Amino acid sequence: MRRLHTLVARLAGLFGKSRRDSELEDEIASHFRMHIDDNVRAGMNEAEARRSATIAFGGIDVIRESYRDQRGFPIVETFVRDVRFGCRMLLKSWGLTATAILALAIGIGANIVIFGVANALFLRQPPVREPSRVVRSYENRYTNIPWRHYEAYKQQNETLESLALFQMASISLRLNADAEPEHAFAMTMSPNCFETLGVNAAKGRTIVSSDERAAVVVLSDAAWRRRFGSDAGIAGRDIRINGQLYTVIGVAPPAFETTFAPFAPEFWLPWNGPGLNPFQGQSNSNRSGHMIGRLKPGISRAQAQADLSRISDSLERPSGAAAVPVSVYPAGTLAEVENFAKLFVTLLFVLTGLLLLITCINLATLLLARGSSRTQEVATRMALGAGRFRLVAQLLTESLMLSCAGAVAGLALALVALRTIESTITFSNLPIPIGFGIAADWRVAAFSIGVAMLTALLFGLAPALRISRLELADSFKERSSSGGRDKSRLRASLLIAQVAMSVLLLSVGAALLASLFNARTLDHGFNPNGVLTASLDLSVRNYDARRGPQFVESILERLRTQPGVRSATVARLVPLMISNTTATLMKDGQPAPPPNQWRQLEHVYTNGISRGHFQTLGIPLIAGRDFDARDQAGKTQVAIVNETLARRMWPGENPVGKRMHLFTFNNASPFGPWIDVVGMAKDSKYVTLTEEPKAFAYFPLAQDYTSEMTLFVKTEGGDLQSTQRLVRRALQSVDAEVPLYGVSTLAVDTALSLLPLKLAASVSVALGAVALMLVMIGIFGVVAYLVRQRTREIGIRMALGAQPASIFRTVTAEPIRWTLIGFAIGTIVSAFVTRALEIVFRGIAGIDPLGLAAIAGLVLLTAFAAAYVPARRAIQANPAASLQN
Amino acid sequence: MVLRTLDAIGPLHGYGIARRIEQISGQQILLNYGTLYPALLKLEQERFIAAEWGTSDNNRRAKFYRLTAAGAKHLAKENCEWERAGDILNRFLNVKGANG
Repeated sequence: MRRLHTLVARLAGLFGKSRRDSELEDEIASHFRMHIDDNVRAGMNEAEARRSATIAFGGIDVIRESYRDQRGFPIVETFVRDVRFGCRMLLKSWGLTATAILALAIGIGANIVIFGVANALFLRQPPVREPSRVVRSYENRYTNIPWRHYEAYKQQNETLESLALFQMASISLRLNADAEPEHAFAMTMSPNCFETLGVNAAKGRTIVSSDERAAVVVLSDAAWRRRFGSDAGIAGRDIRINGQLYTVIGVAPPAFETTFAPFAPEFWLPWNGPGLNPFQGQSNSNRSGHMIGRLKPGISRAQAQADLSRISDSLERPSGAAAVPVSVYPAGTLAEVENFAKLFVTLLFVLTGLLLLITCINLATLLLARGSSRTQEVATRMALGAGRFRLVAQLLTESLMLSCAGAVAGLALALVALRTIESTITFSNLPIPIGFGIAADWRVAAFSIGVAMLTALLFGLAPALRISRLELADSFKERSSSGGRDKSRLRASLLIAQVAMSVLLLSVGAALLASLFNARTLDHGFNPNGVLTASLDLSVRNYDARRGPQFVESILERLRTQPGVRSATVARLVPLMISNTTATLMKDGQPAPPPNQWRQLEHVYTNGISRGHFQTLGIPLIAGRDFDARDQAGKTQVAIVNETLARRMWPGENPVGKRMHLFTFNNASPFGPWIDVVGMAKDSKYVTLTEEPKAFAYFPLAQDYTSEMTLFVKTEGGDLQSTQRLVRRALQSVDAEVPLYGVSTLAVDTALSLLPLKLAASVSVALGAVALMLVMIGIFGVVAYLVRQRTREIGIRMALGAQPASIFRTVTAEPIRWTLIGFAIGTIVSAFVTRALEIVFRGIAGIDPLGLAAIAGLVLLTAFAAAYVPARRAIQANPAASLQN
Repeated sequence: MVLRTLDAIGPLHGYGIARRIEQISGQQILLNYGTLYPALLKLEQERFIAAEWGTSDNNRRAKFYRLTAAGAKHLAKENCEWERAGDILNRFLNVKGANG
C-alpha cells in the first residue's frame, strides 16, 4: 500500500517543480537559522556558528539532488531532458533529420501496409458471435455445394449446430417508383443464415427462419450510407428488386460483409423471395452455393470435415463421378487461395523487411558520421561523470525520436495506401463485388509502435555504443586512424549492393514501360474505336434460353433504326477482358480419343454472339456468311470459325460447309450434335494482346445462351452520353426493369488486359526510386564518415597548397568507384531478369542503349549530389581548425 | 528512529528531530543533518508522517512533522519485528556464552 502512495506522490512530484524547490530552500534556510541560533546561544560567534552548522548539515547540493530524486521520477525527468536535448540536436542538422525521417517513413510505412493486408486476410475475425466456431465448407477444395446436397448435409450432420447456404446474385434495383433500374449485387441465403452467424441488426431486424419466401431485404452498412444517405427511418421503406416490391427490414452491422470474404454484397435476401431466381444462372439440376455453418461446442473442424465427408459419400452423383471429400475452413479467411495468399504476403513481408533493414543500416552509417563530430561533447560529459549507460541512453533517445517521427509519417502514408488498395479493389470493374475490409485497427497500431522501437534500436544502438566507447584521453588528443579493413569492405559491398538493386529495379521498370508503349500500337485484329459497351444481366427478369434471344433481337432491332447507330450486336464476352470460355471441338470423321488422351486435347476458345458482331467490331468476314434469323435454338447448330481453327482442322481448304461437333468427355455418347460451319472470320486477338494465334469458334447466342451479356453499339461520331441515353431508351421500351450497367467503351475495356503490365511497371519504378534514395543516403553517410576520418590529412594537404578539386577527388573516389561497380552488376543482372520476364509478359523489350544511358546518368548524378555536400564541407574547412581537431 | 522520536516527543521540525536522535543515542550516532530531509520526504510520501508549516519556540518559521495513524501502526509493527530480531540475536549470543 505504501508503495502505491509513494508512486502517486512521486508522479505528483513531476509537476510544480519550482514551487517545491523553493519550499525545500525555505526548509533548509529555516534549519540553518535554528542551528545557528543554538550555536550562538552556546557561545560561538556568528561566523563560527554558521560554519559549524554548515559542516553538520552535510553536502548541500548532494542533499538537494537526493531530495529531488526522491521527490519525482528521475527516470521520467531524465527522459524528458534527453528528448529536449535530442530535439535541439536534430533541428540543428535539419536536412539530415528530414531525410532520415522520410527514409524511415517509407521503410516503416511499407511494412505497415503489408501488415494491414495480412491483418485483413488472416488475422481479423469476422464480426459474428464466437467467430472461431463459424466455418465455411466446400466439396473438394472449393467447389460449391449443390442445393440438394445441402439439404442432406443439414439433415444428417452431427457436428454442426446449424448450416446455411448463400450465393451471390445480380439484381435489378429501383430505389423508388420513377428511378431507373440499377444493377446491384445481392446475396441470397437460406433464411437461417443470420441466426447461424448469431448477428443482430444494427438497425431494425435481420432475416429469420420464418422469412421463407418473404419480400424482405437487409442492407449492408456501406449500402445504407452510400445509397440511402444513412436514413434513420430506413426500416420499413419499400424498394423494388427485380420488379417486385421489397421491404427493407434492417441494416447489418458495419463490416458484416467481411464474414463472406471475398464477397462484399450490399443486400441480403431470402433465397425464395419473389422475383428471385434462387442460384440464378444455373440450370435446375445445378443450383449450388457456398455453405456456412456453426460448429457445436467442443467440436473441431477436422471432426466436422470427417462428418460431412461421410455424408458426401452416401450422396447420389452423376454416373462415373468419384465420391467427393468435403473441406471445412474458418470463415472470414480466403478459403480458396489460402496457401497462395500466405506465400505472397510472406514474400512481400520479406521484401519490405529487407527494405527497412537497409534503411536502418544506412541511417546507422549516417549517425556514425555525424556522431564523430560530437566527440568533444561526449568527452565532456564523461569527464563530468556521466556513465556509459547514460550516454548510450541519451543517444538512443535521439534515434527513438527519429524513428517515432518516421513511424508517425509512415503510419499516415500506410493508412492512405491501405484505403487506396481497398477502394481500388472495390471499385474495379470486376464481374462480382470483392472486398476484404482492409482497414487499420488496434493490431496495426500496435505493430507500428513495435516496428518503430525495433527500428530505433537497429540503427541507433551501434552508433551509440561506438560513440560512447571513447577513451577519455584519446578524444582530446589526435584522432585515431579509422578502424578496420573489414568495416570498410562491409560498407563497400553494402553500397554496391544497393546501387545494383536500384539499377536493376529501374531498368526492369524502364523495360516494362517500353513494352507498355509498344503494346498500345499492336494490332488488335478488330477496331475498338467508337464502340460503346454495356452489360446486361437478363436473369433478373428470368429471361431464359427461350425468351432471352427474343429480347435481344427486339433491342437490337430498335437500336439499329436509331440515327447515328452504324451497327449493334450482343455477345457473351468482350475481347481482351481476360475471361474466356473454351470447348473441345472435333471435325467430322475424327474418332473419339481414349480417356488416357483426354488431357492432351486442344481447347478452342469460343464466344456466343448475335448477328452483326463482325460488322460492329470491324473484323473482316473472309468466307461464308454472318449468323441470321435461320440460326435459332432447336434448328441446325452453326458456327463461324477463324482462320487458325480452319487451318488446324481443314488445312488448305475452305471450311464453309464442313461439319464438326463438341466432344463431351462422356464414354457413352462422346459427341454432341453436328455443327455446320457457315463462315470464316479473320484472326484477331481474343484474350491478351500478346498472345499466339488461337483457334476460335463463334456460336449464335440463341444456341449458346447465357443470361449475362454485353451490348456493343457502334456509332457515327456522337459522344458517350448521348449514345448511352439512346441505348437506355431502347432498353426501356422493351423491358423497363432490366438495368444497364458497366457502361464503357470498347477501347477502355480492352485496355484492361494491359493492367498487369502497368502494375508491374509502376511498382518496379517506384521501388527503384526508393532504392535510389537509399543509395543517396548511403553515399552521403559514407562520404561524410570518410571526411571526418581524414580531417587531419585533408587539413595538412590543404595547408600544403592542394587544390580543392584534388581533395574532392580523394574523398569521393572510393564511393564513386563502388557506384560504378554496382551499376555494372545491376545492368548485367537486369539483362537476365528481363529475359526471364519475357515468359510472363510476352513481347517485353530488352534494355535499349538510350534507356541504359539515362539510368546511368541518373545514378551517377545521384551519387555526385550525395557526395557533394560532405565533400564540400571538407574543402571549406579551415585547415588550421582541422589540424587542431 | 524518526517515527519513534515523533511518537515520543510529538510534532517537531527537521532540525529538532535530528538533534533529538543524536541526543537519544547518547551521541553515538552522528549523522549529517541534511540527510534527514530526503528520508523525511520518503516517510511523507508513504503517508506515515504529515507536514505543516508552523512557528518554533524561538519564533522561527519551520516545517513541522507529526505522526499519522498509519505511521503509528507501522511503528508498532516495526517495533515488534526489531524486538524479535533482537531476541533471536540474543539467543545466539547467549549460546556462545554458555560454551565459552
